[in-house]
Amino acid sequence: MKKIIPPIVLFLCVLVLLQCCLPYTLLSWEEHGLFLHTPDWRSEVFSGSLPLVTYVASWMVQFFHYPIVGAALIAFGVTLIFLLLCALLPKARRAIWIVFALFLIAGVCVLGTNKTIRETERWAKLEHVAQKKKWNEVLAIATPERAKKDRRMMPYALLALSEKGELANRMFTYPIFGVEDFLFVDWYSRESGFFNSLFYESLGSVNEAVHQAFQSATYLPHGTSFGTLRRLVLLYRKQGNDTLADKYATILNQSTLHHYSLGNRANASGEGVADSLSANRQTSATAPVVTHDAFYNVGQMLAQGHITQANVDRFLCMALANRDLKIFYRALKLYVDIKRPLPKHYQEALLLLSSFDDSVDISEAKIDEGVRNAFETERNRDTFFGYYFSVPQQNGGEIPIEPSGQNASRQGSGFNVGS
Amino acid sequence: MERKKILLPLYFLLPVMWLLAGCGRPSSFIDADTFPPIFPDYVGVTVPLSMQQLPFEMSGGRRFSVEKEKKGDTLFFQVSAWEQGSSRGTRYKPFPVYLSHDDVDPYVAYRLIEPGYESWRDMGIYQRELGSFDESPIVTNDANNKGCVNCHSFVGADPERMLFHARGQGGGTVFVNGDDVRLLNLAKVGPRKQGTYPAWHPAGRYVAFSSNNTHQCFSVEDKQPIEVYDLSSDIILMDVSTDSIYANPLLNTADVWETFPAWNEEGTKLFFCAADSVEGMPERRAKVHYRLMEIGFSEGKFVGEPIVVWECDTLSASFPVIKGNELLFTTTSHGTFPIWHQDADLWMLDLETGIAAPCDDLNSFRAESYHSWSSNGKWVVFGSRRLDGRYTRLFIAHYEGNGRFSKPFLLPQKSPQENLLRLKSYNRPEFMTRKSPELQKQVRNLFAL
Repeated sequence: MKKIIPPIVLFLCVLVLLQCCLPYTLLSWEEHGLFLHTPDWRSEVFSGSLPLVTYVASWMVQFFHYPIVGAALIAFGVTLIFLLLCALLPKARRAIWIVFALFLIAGVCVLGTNKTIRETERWAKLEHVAQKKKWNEVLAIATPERAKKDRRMMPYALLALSEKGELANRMFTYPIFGVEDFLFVDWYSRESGFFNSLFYESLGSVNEAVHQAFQSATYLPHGTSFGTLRRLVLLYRKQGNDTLADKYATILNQSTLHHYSLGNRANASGEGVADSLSANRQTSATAPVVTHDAFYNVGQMLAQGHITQANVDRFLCMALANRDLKIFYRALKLYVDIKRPLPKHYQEALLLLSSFDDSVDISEAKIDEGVRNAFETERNRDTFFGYYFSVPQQNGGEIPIEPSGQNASRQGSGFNVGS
Repeated sequence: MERKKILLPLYFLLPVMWLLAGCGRPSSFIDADTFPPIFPDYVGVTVPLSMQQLPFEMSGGRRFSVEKEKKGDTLFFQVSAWEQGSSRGTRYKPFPVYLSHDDVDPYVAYRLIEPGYESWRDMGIYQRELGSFDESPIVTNDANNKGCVNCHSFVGADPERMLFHARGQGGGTVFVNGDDVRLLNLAKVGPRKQGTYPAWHPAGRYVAFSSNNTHQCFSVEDKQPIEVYDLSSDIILMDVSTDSIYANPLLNTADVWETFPAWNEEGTKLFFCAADSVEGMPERRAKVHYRLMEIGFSEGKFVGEPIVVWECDTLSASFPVIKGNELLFTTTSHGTFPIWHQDADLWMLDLETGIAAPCDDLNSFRAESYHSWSSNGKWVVFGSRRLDGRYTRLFIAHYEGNGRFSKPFLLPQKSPQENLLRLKSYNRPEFMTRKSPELQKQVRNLFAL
């Protein structure tokens, strides 16, 4: 009985340590991993280095989808090594136990306090909760203080704020420098593609969300991953393209744990299956294209009829971030009913604009007393005034904001954008 | 007690027997007067004698059995299918597969790559033996530090002499001549233009390249996610014996985009596509229409002026490939990269009569694009996205003459599901008259220098 206590204690300690310190890191390993019972994947693994190790490790990592299972597998491995050593060196059993105990203590210290490891865990959590659209949790991680030290947090914070409808009230509580804070621009990495895919999904551009998901995946060991494939299923279902969604679902079903049900194509077997997308969205030689200018892209989405509160707020706040009050005012009149209570930053912008331009009539807008006072006296950095007068201007450009065609009727209907 | 001992084994046997009964063939079948719905669809296709292995499965995943019978030059497949556990199945009308005595080249080469976007990770040029399911790499981008490898092209479909581009740091064009494998950066030679789409002169001394300034853009929400377009393109001619490159002014004009060179079989004419240049790309991409042109060639020089052999206001041509008097090409509503256009189709131009018509036997409601003839002109292999609209797969069809083809069939795989599970597209299928040696080591050495 005494002999089994140390390995059990060891197992439990490692399990608890990993589950407490690295649950999201374990999850991210599964997100970035891949294991498929397909000839292509097997061929790729067995033509690489250490094929057997890669194969077994990839099989195991699947189970990290449930972090406690992943932690248990690692704990089991550690315990197995302990038992093997004890079996091989029975006389040194006590010493082995002391060494493992020391490693455990070191593990607690390192995993619990090492800056890089904590940051990795925090980042993994941020990506996970953003993907799950748990915006409060995103904001709990991407705080203004953290964003000051790590600018990569800014896009996440701004996305979460826009999804919660709080962008126009809280954007300037964050250390924003310009429109480039909304997106990872001209930075090619797994992380940037991952976020940009979330951004464009939120914007309503599934094509670009898919593009960015593929971009992100090219930085992963297999060129794709469980996370990527799941994302593609989700995006194509959203787009109504069941053909492609089923394809990726079928591929995922070749792993051990995934069991996707298929849509139109039962068992995904069929040749020349008709598209599930509507026929009137065929090849268009004049379809608008994505640019490297996020502001422009958001404007395009609005012009294409993706008039959601999040997109309107995003566009207006990007105009403020660009300090382009002209475009801000035009778009505000187009998409927002200014007679209803306005968010804080819109009030601030209107006040400021009316102080420059007599033609701007804000008599119908409700400006809070606190905002007026702040304009007269404080101009803190967490207001639009503070930002406008303290941060250097970024480049602007010709931005499409007018809705076209059948969407023109949306003009002037406004949103209930208010605090 | 004795009774229990006798009955006990039955308690185990009965469920087993019940299970086995569920797995096996039903006892009765209804005869159907239709062909079976199979994937891939091999009903009524024509295959060469070397390609009689045609694995398929029932659509919907039903269990099935097959009885095969050969009558003359036709194979008949009698398929009986049933749902698991069902006591009744369906016996379908036997479907024919016609055997052609026209040989097909034993190999086809192609690139495997994810279907588009900007970056990539793994890609390679592979060869597939058509008489089996064996696929092996010719070269992968492990050899050039994960750069791009593309545009493989052979002299007379013989891999003994070939070229392909290997991009990336220190990259260029790899020329293979037997055991001699060398790398040349075309942009550092002569007119200093990069080579893009290649076309070997049949005699093997010259290569015509288009030199393209290619870009791509991504649509915000259209069903077509990507458009690939050129901002300029010209045609250059390389003399491989001297490594010299010439840019004939007639094929290097600023206001015309010349691309996709292709030789006739005698090597006396160069065909290519040309479009009047359009400003304001990509927004004005609908204005770009490529026409088919030809120019004479003799003793290393272009002869005469380029003349139009085909043009259409509402269609754009690409990928001309000539066999005898037949010119097979791809059309789409506009532009130069048809694989991303659902409306892309294969057309045939009769060079004698000048009449062009769509190859209705080959086309589907999705994109058909790159194609090549077998060395004897009896078969064509082409890329099509008809399965799912995104992943290009290869189809082979027999040429019956007079612009007619047999029903195309999907390149067979050991398991039909491999066509769906493969996460890469097939690019640029080219028949080969024999197996190419693997070039991985030699190319790696070129990039290690």
